[in-house]
Amino acid sequence: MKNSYLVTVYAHDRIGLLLRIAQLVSRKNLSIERLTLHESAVPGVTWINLVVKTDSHTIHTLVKQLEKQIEVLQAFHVVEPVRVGFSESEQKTRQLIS
Amino acid sequence: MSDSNHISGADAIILALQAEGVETLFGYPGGAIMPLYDAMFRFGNQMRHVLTRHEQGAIHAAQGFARVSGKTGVCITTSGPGATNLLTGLADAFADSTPVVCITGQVNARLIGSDAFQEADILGLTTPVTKWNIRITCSEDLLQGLSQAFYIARTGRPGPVVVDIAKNVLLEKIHFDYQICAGMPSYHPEPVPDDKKIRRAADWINQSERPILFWGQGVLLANASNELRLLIDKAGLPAASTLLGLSAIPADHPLNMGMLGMHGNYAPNVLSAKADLIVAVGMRFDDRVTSDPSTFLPNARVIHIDIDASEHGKVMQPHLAIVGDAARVLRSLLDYVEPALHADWVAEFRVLQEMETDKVMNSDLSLAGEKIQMGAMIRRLSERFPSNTLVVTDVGQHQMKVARYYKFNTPRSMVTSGGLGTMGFGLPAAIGAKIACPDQPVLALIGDGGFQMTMQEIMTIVQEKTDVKVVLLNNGFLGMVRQWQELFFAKRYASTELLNPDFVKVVDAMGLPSKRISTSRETDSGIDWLLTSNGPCFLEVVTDPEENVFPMVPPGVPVSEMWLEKKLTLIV
Ligand SMILES: Cc1ncc(C[n+]2csc(CCOP(=O)(O)OP(=O)(O)O)c2C)c(N)n1
Repeated sequence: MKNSYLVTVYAHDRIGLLLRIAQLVSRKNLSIERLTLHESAVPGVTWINLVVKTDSHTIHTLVKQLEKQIEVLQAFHVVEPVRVGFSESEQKTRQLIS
Repeated sequence: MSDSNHISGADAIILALQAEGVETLFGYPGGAIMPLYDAMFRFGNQMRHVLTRHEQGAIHAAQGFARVSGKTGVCITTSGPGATNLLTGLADAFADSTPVVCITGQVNARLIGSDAFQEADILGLTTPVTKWNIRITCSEDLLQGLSQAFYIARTGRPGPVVVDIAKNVLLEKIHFDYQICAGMPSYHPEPVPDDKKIRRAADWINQSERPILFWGQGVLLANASNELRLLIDKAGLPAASTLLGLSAIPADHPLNMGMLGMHGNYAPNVLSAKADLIVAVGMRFDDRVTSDPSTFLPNARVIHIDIDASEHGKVMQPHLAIVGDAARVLRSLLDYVEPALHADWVAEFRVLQEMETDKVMNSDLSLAGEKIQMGAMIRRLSERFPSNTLVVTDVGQHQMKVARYYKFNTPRSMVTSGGLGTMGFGLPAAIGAKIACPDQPVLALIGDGGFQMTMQEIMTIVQEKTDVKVVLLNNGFLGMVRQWQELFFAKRYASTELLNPDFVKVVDAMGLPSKRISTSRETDSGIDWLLTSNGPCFLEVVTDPEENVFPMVPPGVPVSEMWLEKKLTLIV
């Protein structure tokens, strides 16, 4: 079954980072439905949110592959359909990093 | 800080490479990288630079170097076409987890993005086929970029890294304070395995009646051959290898049941469906091993041990996933498993092994016919070459025959392009292997199709006096493709027959002693010639043109229904 997943990635920023993240998504043959990216509370750490529509197996493997990238500090997804505002896990990670 | 502490970026790269213990570089010069070549020259060529005849040759040589030695292979090219010529090798090294650092020249930073002469977006082009890449446009970032590149390439699950350096950085002066990288905040290459899970794995092994251990290249990369052997001996585990895992355990070890997958051995493929437990170590359930994953291992619990957590659940959902270095996990497992024999289960393997010997091997290995069969030639080479020989293959039927019939006895003695299956890999990779291990004989076994993809590297052999024994197995066809056409496309041989040059004349003209044999009777005299020739030489072996590789798991068929011989079913 397909779902919209919100994937959150915290990573050290550098030239080519977004390319590497986006390329992993397109390798899974997924298109990115929404993408936001800005500096997190920690300078030099970028906070990327992206939404993809896929099944739970694919999202799990995608997130693991994102997590494996050298500059990625943390990557996770929320299972429930996307809402406005922050999810609990997003807030937790914000605290964790700042 | 006095000015004398400042050196050019190019000189700093040379010193950094020396600090990393690099002794050999494989490369090809050009405009954007010339200051680095000039530095090499001015340093009195303290490092050996091997000038290949194509950048693809340079990276495959660096891969061969890395695969046999465990050291990081280093490759240098210019910008634009020099760097784009690396792509196949990068993809190959990425698929096969080979530690390689490629330094590519880039146009001057102020020209980047202007479609300058020989500018190509190497960061963009190499992102999908590298473990990591970085573009360096200012000299302050140079040393850290290099040290991180080496650290990332060799640690954790190894892989290729590209350092793309703008030309101005090579010329600018910097203060040299190089430090070997010891860690990065967001990268954890040495996960600590969970001891509770290892204990559970040991319990499962102890309870199992029909276990099989699958191992892959992870065992070689972790230098865990000993641990693996001790474990299978103690727990009485029949074991089978992936293509890239070959050589971790001697071919004649009684519990080594051979190779998994499409052209692997009959017993481990068939019995994998009967197994109640699979212990998979440092392998990634490639589709050439699993065929259709939904039909693979119908009756087994699966324990998957891998240093790369993203492999767990990618193809097969394991019942128990252990993240960690193979040597470390196997060592702990060894303490917890109980001695066992599984004699009845092992006996089942013996029955199927005999079937394979009867139906396939006896005829494959026969030297009685007039025409030379690849398998027979390869087995004879295996019997007669010293046991420390490093064997490098290209891709195709001959590769599968080598995997099946060459008896590997020492870890890292087999080098082949597995994940990407890159024709043209063999010859340059053999050059790298010989340079890494000059005291071991190196035998390159190559098909006539693949040879013509990188045959210009014969000149590298001649120029560098690299003692590689090249054996060309010439069947006049793109054999592996022809086999599929024969089996699945009603013998419609579309574009697989080759009009070949006189290889002996060509290679001879390049300055390498060459010889041809074409009948089974000449097998031994051909091998005598290879063994007694001083230095590199080239033996063309004209083989049976329409030989096939069996057994075979046709596409989509469960591995347990592997064919021992040709069937008249058409599946496309
Ligand atoms: C670069 C590349 N192009 C195409 C292929 C597809 N392919 C796989 S095996 C093969 C035939 C190889 O023929 P040859 O080198 O003569 O070896 P043989 O199979 O006859 O032993 C081909 C074309 C490949 N693996 N790599």
